Amino acid sequence: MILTIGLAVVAFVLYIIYVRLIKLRNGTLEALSSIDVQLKKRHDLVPNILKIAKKFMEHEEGVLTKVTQMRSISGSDYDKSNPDEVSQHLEANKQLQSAMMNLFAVAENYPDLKSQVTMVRAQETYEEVEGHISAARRFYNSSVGELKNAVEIFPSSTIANMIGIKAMPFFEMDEVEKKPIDASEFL
Amino acid sequence: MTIEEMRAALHSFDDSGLRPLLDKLEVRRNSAFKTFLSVVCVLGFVVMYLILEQGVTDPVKIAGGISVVISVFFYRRMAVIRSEAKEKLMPALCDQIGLDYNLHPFNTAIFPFTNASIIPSYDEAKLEDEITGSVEGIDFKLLEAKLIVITRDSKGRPSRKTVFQGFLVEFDFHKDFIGETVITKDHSVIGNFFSGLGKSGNRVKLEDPEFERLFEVHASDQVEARYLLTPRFMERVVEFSKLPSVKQLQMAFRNGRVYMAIKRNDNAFEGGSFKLNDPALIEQNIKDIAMIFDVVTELNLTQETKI
Repeated sequence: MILTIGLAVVAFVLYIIYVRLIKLRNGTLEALSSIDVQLKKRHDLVPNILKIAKKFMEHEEGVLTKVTQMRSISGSDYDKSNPDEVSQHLEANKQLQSAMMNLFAVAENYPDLKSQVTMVRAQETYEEVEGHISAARRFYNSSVGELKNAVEIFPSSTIANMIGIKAMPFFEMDEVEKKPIDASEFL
Repeated sequence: MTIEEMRAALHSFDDSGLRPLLDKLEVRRNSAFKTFLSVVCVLGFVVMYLILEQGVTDPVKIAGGISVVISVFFYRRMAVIRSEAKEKLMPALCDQIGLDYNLHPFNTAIFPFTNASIIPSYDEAKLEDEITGSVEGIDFKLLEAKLIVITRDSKGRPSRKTVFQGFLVEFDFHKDFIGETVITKDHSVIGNFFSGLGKSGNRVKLEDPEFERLFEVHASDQVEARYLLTPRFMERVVEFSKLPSVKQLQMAFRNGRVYMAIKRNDNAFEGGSFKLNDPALIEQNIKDIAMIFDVVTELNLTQETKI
């Protein structure tokens, strides 16, 4: 009798851990989807910005080509349940962001482009989209942190191993973004 | 008008036009105060005499009750005169900086705050001092509220408890959003569990440990909540909540606006002096109005950089 109760308790505890792991994994996948929704907005916005920029930045072929390439790579399909593919996908999007930042930095040298109403609007929209991407990234990283703890800490780590739940990669900021800004460069 | 210009305009308020009126009201208030004191002394003496003569009998109890009612009547006369002074002073102060003032707002003004779940449930609401206008292009509405809960003991005797006293403020917000994000006071693990049962949306766990220690966030959209509550904005909310004039802060983002319930220790716009013609009264009212600027500057509501 005692053994049966003991086994039932153990089974119940294992079930609770299992449910929590599944919830955390699904939560992380949901957060990843929300990042993709925001990344798609940026993906769709990039051609419009390139179109405007091309008119003024004819001599910056390299900068524009880099953005086009990164957009193409970052938009490819990937398997959301595969942490390696997720990592590659997030990395590609970081590269696209860097390329876009580079484009805006170079655009500073073209006063005509900077003063273009359509470019100003496009840049504002881009900043808005970046704000949403940043928020989605924070949500995703928060979910990944919880999943990572569950996957790496015993006893849930054992069950996660048995049912094949793996930790997902964090979507970290690019080193360029983390670097402190030297205000004197802009003065 | 910038905030600094508004502050300067308030502090350079010329009260010479109001001075004769305030002097006249102070004479009336002084007279009403003396009458009140006389009435209280006479009635107190009579009641004490009756108690000593007859003990605490039913007729003495009735006499005591009547004395209290009469005293309250004479006290109310002073309150009416004070209210008259406020009705003259506050519109003039608000007009100085292009704002509108209404002493008695409609009861419906509290509904957005009730719907946003940032004020406690109440049985009676006293609303006053509604200020509306725009600060650096940001439309706002502020009103003062006192919310009371009435409970009854086993014998049916009512007792009144103030559950909220302070400002209810709504501002336009510089970011577009469609969901609902509610920031309430943190009640520790067990308290949050029970208070969270009645809340719509999911709990949002944020990165700022100080913010997490002070507040509990529920939102209909996790991403949108983080879009609104950037790390810098969370710092600003924490800083604002630590101002001496803020006893407790709860806020909500809904319908494109930010709603705030700012609990205070005292009744605002009542002046810092007993005398109605004391310059300290105007000074205190100016300080209370400047709370609007504190909200805008501390939370940086005018900024366009989206952080």
